[in-house]
Amino acid sequence: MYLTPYVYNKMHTCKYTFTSIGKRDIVKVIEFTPTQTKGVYNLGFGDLQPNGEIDDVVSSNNGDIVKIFATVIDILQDFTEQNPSYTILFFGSTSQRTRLYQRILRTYYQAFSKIFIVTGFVETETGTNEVPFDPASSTEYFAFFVKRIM
Amino acid sequence: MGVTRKKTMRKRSPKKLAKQNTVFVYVERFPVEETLFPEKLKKANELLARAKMMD
Repeated sequence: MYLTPYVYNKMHTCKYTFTSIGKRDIVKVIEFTPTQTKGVYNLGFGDLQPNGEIDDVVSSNNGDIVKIFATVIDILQDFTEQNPSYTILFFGSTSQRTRLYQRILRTYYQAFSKIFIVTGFVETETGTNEVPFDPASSTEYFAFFVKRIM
Repeated sequence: MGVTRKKTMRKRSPKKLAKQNTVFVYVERFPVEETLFPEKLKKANELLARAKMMD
């Protein structure tokens, strides 16, 4: 999809890793975790540090963001293929990163929307609401939901 | 010889027993300590609560 993704390792039914190859090699970890809402899984994404800890705030600037995103989509497809009824929630660890996710979603929405239903959280007068993702809109979403089209 | 009465056990329905003896304990669906992204999960649950999407 889009650009050739990295080859990933499935460590567990909910945990995946792959290596970003750019200025340096960085092991990326993706974990799907059940939330308090039935059927909604949170997507955690971060860099594996040499000390074994995960950093989901760092900007690695490895020059391969599109390829990384293609790999995340690939993993998302694998996970939702195994669990088609699950909804995946994701957002950036900073608002800047969430905006980056929105830009990427907007760019690849045409292909992405063939596989997933995309919605997002927006702040309205009535509070936090889930609305369909509109790639043409300038609305700022602060979290996204994706669900496989069955 | 006197007549000995046979002691009988009253049958009790397992369904009724379960009703009497069931204690409901609230357990978090997924403890934050078990994830690699505890802060993210905490924030996700807060977001869902804000949007009233909690179970």
